[in-house]
Amino acid sequence: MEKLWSSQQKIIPPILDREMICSFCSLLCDDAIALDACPLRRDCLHKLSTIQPTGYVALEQIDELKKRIRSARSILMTGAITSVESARAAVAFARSQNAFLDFSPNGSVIDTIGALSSSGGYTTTLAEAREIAGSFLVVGNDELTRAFPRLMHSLSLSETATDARTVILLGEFSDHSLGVWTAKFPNTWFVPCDLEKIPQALSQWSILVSSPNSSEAKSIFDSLRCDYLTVVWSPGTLHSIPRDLWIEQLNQWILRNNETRRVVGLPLVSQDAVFAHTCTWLTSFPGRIQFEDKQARYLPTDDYRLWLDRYQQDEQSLVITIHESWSDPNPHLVRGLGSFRGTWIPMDSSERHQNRFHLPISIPGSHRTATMIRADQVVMARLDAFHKPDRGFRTPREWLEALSG
Amino acid sequence: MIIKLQDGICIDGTAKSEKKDLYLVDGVIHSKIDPTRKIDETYDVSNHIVMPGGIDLHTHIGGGKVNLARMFLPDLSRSSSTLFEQTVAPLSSPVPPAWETGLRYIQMGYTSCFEPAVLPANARQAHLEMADIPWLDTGGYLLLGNDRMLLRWIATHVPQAQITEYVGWMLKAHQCCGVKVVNAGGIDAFKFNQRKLDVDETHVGIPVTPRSVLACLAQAVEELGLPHPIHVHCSNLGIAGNIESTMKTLEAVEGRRIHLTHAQYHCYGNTGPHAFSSEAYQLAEYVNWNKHVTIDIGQVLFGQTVTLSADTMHQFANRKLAQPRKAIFQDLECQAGCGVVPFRYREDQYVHGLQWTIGLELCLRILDPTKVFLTTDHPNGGPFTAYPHLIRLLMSYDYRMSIFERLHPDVRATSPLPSLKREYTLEEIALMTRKGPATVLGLNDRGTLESGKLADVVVYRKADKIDSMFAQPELVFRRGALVMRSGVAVGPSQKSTIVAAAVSEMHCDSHFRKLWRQQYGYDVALTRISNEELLDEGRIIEYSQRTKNPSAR
Repeated sequence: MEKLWSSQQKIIPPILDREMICSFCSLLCDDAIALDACPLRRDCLHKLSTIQPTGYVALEQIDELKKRIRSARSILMTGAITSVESARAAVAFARSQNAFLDFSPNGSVIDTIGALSSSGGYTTTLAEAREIAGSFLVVGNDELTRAFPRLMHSLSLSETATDARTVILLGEFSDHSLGVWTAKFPNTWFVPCDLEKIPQALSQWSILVSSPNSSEAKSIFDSLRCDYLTVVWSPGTLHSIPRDLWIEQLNQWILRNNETRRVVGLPLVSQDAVFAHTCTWLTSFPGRIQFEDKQARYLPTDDYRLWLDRYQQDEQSLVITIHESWSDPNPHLVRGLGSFRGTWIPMDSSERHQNRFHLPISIPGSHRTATMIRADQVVMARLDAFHKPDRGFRTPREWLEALSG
Repeated sequence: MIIKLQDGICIDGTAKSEKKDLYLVDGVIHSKIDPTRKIDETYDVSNHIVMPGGIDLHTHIGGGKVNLARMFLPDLSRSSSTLFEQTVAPLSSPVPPAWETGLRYIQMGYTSCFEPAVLPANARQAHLEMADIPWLDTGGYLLLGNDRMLLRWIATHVPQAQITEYVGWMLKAHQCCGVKVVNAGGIDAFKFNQRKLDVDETHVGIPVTPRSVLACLAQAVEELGLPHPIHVHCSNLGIAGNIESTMKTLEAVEGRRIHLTHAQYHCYGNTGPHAFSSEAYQLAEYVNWNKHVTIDIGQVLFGQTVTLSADTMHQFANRKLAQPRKAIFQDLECQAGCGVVPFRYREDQYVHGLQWTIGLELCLRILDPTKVFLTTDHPNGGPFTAYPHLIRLLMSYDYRMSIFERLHPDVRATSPLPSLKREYTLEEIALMTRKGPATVLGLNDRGTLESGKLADVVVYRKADKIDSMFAQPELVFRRGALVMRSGVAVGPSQKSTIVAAAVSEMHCDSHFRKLWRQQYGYDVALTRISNEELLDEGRIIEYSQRTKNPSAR
């Protein structure tokens, strides 16, 4: 049996070169020394060291998959794509096969775009906020701190010294979060607030500053009235709330405040936002597209779950999942695919797959050079691989071209 | 490969228009070939007009704000509420996806297009998007008039040599071919909550004036020997009475070359029944009498569109005019900003009607068609697919009057348009859409049908209805290969990215690296786009060249 790919080699943890950009979160930091202290990076490096793909992908299997793709009644492409190159390949494949695309695994990117397109907004970027923000209003919960452990450094004017500006943590933060923010910004205040009620609360300043300690209330009030107040939040860390409405209300509050002063939002998105951007310039839409006769039809309220519900029992339907991220695949998707009766072609770097059609892919920015977008969705960086990319892994583009060839 | 175009009427505005044969030999135009050479294909193009490929020097086709507009306006997709007479299939959206942009341009015979506002931080995305636009050669102008590091240097009077070196380095690092200035210093001032910045007014956060920024950047462009002059969007876009600041902007460069973009939006008076009037005459006269200035129009068309601009100061002020009622803004990376405001131009609205007349007035009053270029500032004034319609407006007095008669009565009562009886010739159209833009961009390899030029050639079936003729050429060749026949794509073509040639290379020393990291939080290496990266995208790099020193001083 001719092998297209095989590997039993253990991957060796990399040493970050001084000029390397870290791809483990969407902040895309490039300061090697400072990065050594990043807990997320440590976890990811450990994960990288444990990847030990097994199994074979044979030419016969590719031929079989091609047949299944040709005869499929409906095709879903889903998962998490984090590089421009894979996004282009996925859109081209979906167009050629009239597939349905949904690469917003938890819906946060699509919800954010949906909220922006209904109400508008005023946003800023990391360098801008670092340079001129008078204060930071960080809204959310501990997940924001966990997802972007280097955020406070990225917002600080100095890597080593502390920053005199005020940070107000508004929402559901623990002492741990308060501690890491205070380490960088000694003037950090925590105002507990039900996450869901934050946009309404912001419209009523007095509620926020109703602390019994009046000098504390005054400090917070003054900070909120500063020049260039920057509201930091992350749509991907908002769970169990009506996210689209929440984002819309927050954006409206920010826009209203710009009538007389300057207030901006700094929404930090996860790496999978790169798919939304690339898909938009290729099709006009950020995802959730059904291709029909190669034309894109935007179905923003339909998602992969709806497709799975519809085709769960259809043996002639087919799902391709592409998971390019270090984070675990969306558990709802994995569960949904557990009882799926059609063909499932998983593309990821996991060693856990028992699926006979598993196609192992390299991770962008680590195993292979890739173009990714920073969390503020403005800077696109080309990230060089710090592993030799010749370990048998292929890129999604290579697999998709093989499947459509 | 030799292709013969037999017996076509060759029009490029430079040579005498006449029937003759043209040969496309290995991607290059020849007027004659050795008679012993074998001709591979012959096209009988008698009763056809042969022109060079069109060049659009100002069209928003790629980069952050363009994509933001797409994301922001899915509700406008598939709508085609343009009120001008459509001879080209309407775009699927005011900001179409990359492939559609390429298709629609090539279907009209345009072969080179330039994105006029590339944010340095976003340059990589702009190039990636433009790589996905099929058929067209593309290039971009780099936004530098609100670069905060540069503003601080200007404020502290660093030597001009340092500024020039920096501009050269930025162009090279971001693979652009020109320098764009949008509301010099004003976008940055808005971040400091300053709502207005006139040419001689001082930025509240950094002590610079637009005049000082313009002078420094114009000088840098001259010293670098860039073919394209600074490409300027003036200080008070769209505001009644802004002709005063526009004239000050032209003076601010002190005789150095300047390209004033979407000039229609910059020549308003504040007189008349609505305190909004045309001052096109004043600007046109300046252009007619001064060699150092060229302009493009930014013509408005009636119908739904979306305005997108780096000029957050004025876009934010215009948000109340948004239709649909929503708008989105960004302050971007200490370099510029972005505002996306959907907009509908209505022919029964006084200001919109007057804007329509002003664009045409400028074209008709400026005598030299190599100094005024046809643009809609796509999508700001309207879609680029309006070009055939605009050409007809310029070539037919009766046609433009037929539309003029539908405008607001106060426009009809005050506009001087009826007195401008000039009708453009095909030669003048060729100059304003081909030769003129090629010259001002330093694209010496295209723009005419002379021997030795690139074989980007368009063949139109001669027709009385000029907009129909320009809407769908019979044949379009790129580098001598047929890519489009009667509006149907018949082949792909090699694409090029056009960048500035021979810009000086700043020594990227440790001090500069430190400054950069302080400003942006990352190393300069992250921003820099290598030639290899562009080549990986399957594009050839071409350089715009300045053939002689066209300093107008």
